[in-house]
Amino acid sequence: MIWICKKCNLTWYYPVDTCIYCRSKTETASSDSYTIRGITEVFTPSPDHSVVPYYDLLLEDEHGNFYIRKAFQSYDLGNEIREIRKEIKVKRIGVIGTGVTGCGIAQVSLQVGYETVLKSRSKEAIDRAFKKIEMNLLKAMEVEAKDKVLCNLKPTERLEDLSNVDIVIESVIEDIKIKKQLFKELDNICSKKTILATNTSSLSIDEIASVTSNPNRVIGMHFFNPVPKMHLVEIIAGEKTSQKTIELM
Amino acid sequence: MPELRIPIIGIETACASGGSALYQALMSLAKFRFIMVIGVEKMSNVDSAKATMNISAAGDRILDQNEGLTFPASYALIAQQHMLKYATTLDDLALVSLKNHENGNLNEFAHFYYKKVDMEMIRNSPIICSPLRLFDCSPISDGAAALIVSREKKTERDIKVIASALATDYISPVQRKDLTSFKATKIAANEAYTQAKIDVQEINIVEVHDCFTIAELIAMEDLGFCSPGESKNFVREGRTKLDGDIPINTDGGLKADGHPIGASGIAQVYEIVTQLRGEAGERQLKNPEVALTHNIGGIGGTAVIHIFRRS
Repeated sequence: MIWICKKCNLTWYYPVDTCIYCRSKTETASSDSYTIRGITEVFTPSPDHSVVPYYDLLLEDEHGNFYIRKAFQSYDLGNEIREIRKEIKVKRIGVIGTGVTGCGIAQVSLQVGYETVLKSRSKEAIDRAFKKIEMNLLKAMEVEAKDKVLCNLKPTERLEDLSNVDIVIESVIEDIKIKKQLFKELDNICSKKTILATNTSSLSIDEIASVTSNPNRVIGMHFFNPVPKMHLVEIIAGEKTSQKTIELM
Repeated sequence: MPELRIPIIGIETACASGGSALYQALMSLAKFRFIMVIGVEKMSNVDSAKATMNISAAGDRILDQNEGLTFPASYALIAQQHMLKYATTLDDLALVSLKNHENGNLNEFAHFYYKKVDMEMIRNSPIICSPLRLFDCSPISDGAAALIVSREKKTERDIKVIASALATDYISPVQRKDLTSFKATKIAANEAYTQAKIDVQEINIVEVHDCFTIAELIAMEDLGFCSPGESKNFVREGRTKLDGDIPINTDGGLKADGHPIGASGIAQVYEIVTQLRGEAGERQLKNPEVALTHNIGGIGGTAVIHIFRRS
């Protein structure tokens, strides 16, 4: 979205209600589709962007304005894409399960800057996971940066602490009964907008979603170990998974 | 230094700080007789992520950096636009790097004085931000340089500054209409040529701000040494080498001489003055008369141009 003063022929890329020169009311303009004019694959990490490689896209809207957007997938030049800025601003991620995959997901989530709630069944498992994540973060960054990142990790034994996250990624044992029970509880605890993702390679998303009141927000995510090193994630849409949920993921 | 009892001012315009300090000093000559301009930077012994963050202070946080657009990424996109528009190739960029490294081998103050570089090495170097490779990027260096400016001519070695111009542009490249040229350079260049009352053809030696190889090509076009898109031909024909008709970055440029941010702009002037005085040793050009320095900050957000003449 851009803010325009037609009188002064000026454009702003951040909210400006009245033109800073003529004080008249600005108009906003947005575009439905953007053409990819440039793309670069970035291999050098910076403090807010420690997971590399990633892509930076140079987008042009229908009015000829440029935008920069970060992406984790490659696009072809000249292709059109819809606005990739996320409608729901994701800030908090909940991870259930402290196995190898669960810890890996939590670590990556922390590294890209999300507040992360990590849930496990026992105090011991949680402590072990915290130490493991701390060790692995130290391999990727300096002590100062690690301390800062780790402030965003909230370990917990209570499922209720996941009530205010934007996305829950469940990574418990591959057992349909346990997963269904968990999703039933999550359905009650989490807000109606929260996306519920299950890390599975073989179980039916539809069956897991069937126990929830809103199956269109349930999706499958199949991570590969070690999660921090593998850039591949399989996204599995269920029969009823909404387009919005798919795009956000 | 309170015992000196003189004013001391810090100038900060990112990579253009050196050039901007000289620009300020020349304006201050209305009041002071002798002014010392010092450029200095210590950048080593910091891990590269931290250095990237500090350098990023010169960029647009909201539009660029939140989306991961670091300086190498910006120049990578600019290089790609230049390639798409003018069919500039990776080898053209490599030739710029090679030429600057060859010049750096003749400059004992250069960061890479001892490093021998060839085309294969450049072509096989790791990618930093596609299409830019390691050898397309200036290094993180330590360095310092100083100048003394005055209204009075004291010795026969003094070099005259005949133009000093500074211009600015948007910080973020996305707010501009054209990504294959820097408007600030064009504005400052026009202003400088008018002040100096010279034509671009009269310039014998140039120091341009090659923080990335693509920046040297774009500078050649923006400064008017060639028309847009023509810089690749100049490079292919070797016209910017030491023995070419318009030698560029005879000290190795930011690429091989090094890029200690605040010192780079002053180091460029040091090279020009050394050349005009005929004291450049092995890399000395034959009788240069008029010279130009081009120092930019950020992604061309600030451009400072000075023109010098042997007096």
